[in-house]
Amino acid sequence: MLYARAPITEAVVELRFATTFPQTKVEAAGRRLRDEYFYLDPESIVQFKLEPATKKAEPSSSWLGVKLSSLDRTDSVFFRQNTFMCSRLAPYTGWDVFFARTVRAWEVWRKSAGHTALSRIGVRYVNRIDVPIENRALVRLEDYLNVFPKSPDDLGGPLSAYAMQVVRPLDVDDCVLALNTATVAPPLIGFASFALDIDVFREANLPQRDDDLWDILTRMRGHKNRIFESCITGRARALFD
Amino acid sequence: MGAIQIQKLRPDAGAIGRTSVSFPSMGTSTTSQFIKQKLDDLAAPTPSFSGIRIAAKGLDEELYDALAAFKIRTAAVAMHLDRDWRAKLFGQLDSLLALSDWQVEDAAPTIESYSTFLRMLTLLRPQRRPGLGATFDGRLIATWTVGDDRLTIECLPKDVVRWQLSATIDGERERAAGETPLPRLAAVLRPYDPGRWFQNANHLPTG
Repeated sequence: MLYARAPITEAVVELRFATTFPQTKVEAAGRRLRDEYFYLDPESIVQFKLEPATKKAEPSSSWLGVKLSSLDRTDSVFFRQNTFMCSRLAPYTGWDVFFARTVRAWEVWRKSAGHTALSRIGVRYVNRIDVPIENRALVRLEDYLNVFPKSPDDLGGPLSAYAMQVVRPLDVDDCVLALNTATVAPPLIGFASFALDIDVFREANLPQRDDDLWDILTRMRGHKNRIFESCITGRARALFD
Repeated sequence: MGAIQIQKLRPDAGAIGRTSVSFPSMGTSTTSQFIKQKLDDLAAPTPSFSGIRIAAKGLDEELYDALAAFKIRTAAVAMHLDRDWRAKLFGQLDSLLALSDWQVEDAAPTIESYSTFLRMLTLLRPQRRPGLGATFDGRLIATWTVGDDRLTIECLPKDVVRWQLSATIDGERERAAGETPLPRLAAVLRPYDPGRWFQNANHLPTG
C-alpha cells in the first residue's frame, strides 16, 4: 500500500558475506561506483583504550569500509569487508527505485570482488509513527499498534517508555522476522513517536545466483509489507494518508 | 491497556529519533550483560545515522560533518516536509556551510542548534523559508524580512530560541525581543501578527 506520507525513516537491504574481503577490493568497489554518488567517505571504528600509566584514553581506529552518499544524504551504499548495504532515508520513494539502486550497487560490488558467498540477507524497514498529542496526557498504544508490551495494571502508573523485540520464524521462504518496537524521542514538538522496525532476514538456503537473490529479496519485501499492515491499526494508517 | 504517558521533557539533540532505552542498574551476571548488550543494540543508530567523525581535524571537516549531520537529521522528519521546500532548504545549507564563505575563526553550526531550528520549522510551518545565518559560536539564525518588518530567531540548544523583531503595527514602530521555549513561540509572537513574515510563499510545507 502506498501512503502519501509513508512513516519509513529508513529502508535497508543488507547482505552479509561468508568471508572477509581485502581492503583493496572494497576500495575498488567504492571507486567504481563513485561517479553515481556525490560523496565517498571512509568508514572507521574508533575505540578508546585507557592507558593505566598516563590515565589517558588513547583513540585508535580500524578501517571498516567505504560509504557512498547522495548529495542530500538520503541514498547510501556501504561497502564493507564483510557486508554490503544499500539504504534509503526518508522521504521514501518506493521499492522499484530503491531495488534498482541496490541491484546496480551489487553489480558493481561483484565486478570488483567476484563471487561472494553470503551468510545472511535482510530487508529492513524502520518506521516511525508520529502521533499528534492534541492536549492528551496519555496515548493508547492499541489505537495505533497491534504489537506492544503488556504489564500488570497494579505495577503503578502508565508506561513512560518501552522497548520490545519479537523474533519469530515466518514459516515461508526460510525467513525470520526480527521486529523491534519502542518509544522514540519525538522529532516533532507536540507528538509522541513509536518505532516499528521490521527486519525480515534469512540465514539458511541462501541464494547462489544473483537472479535468485533478487527473487527472494522481492518476496521478503512482500513479507515485510504484510507484517507492517498487520502491526498497525486503521487509526495509524490515517496518519500516513 | 497499553497506554503511554506523554513526556514533557525537552530531548537532547542526540536522542531525537532514537529509541528511548532506560539502562538498568549495573549487573555482573551473564544474564545482565546479555540484557545490556540487547539494549545497546536496540538503542544504537543504524550506520546511515552514525559514522560522523568523533574529532574533526579542521574547519573544512567540521563544516563537512555539520552539513552531513543536518541533512541526515532533516531526513528524520522528511515525511512531514514538502519535497521542493526541503530541496531548497538543502540549497541554503549548502551555501551557508560552504568553506569559501566561512570565517576561519568562527565555529561550525552545531547539531543542537540545527535540531532546534528544524523543530521550530516543523512546529510553525512557515510557508516562506527564512534566510539563514550563523553566530560565531555555532548557533543558527533564521531571518524573515518583509519590507521594513524583520523577525530574527537564534536557535539555542534544547528547543529554546532567542528572538527579536521590529514591525509597524497601527502606524507605530515596535521592537520586541525575548528568549522562549519553542512550544510557546507561536503564542509569544501572536500579538505581532507573524503571518506577515511566514505567509505568501510558493511552496507550502505538508502538514
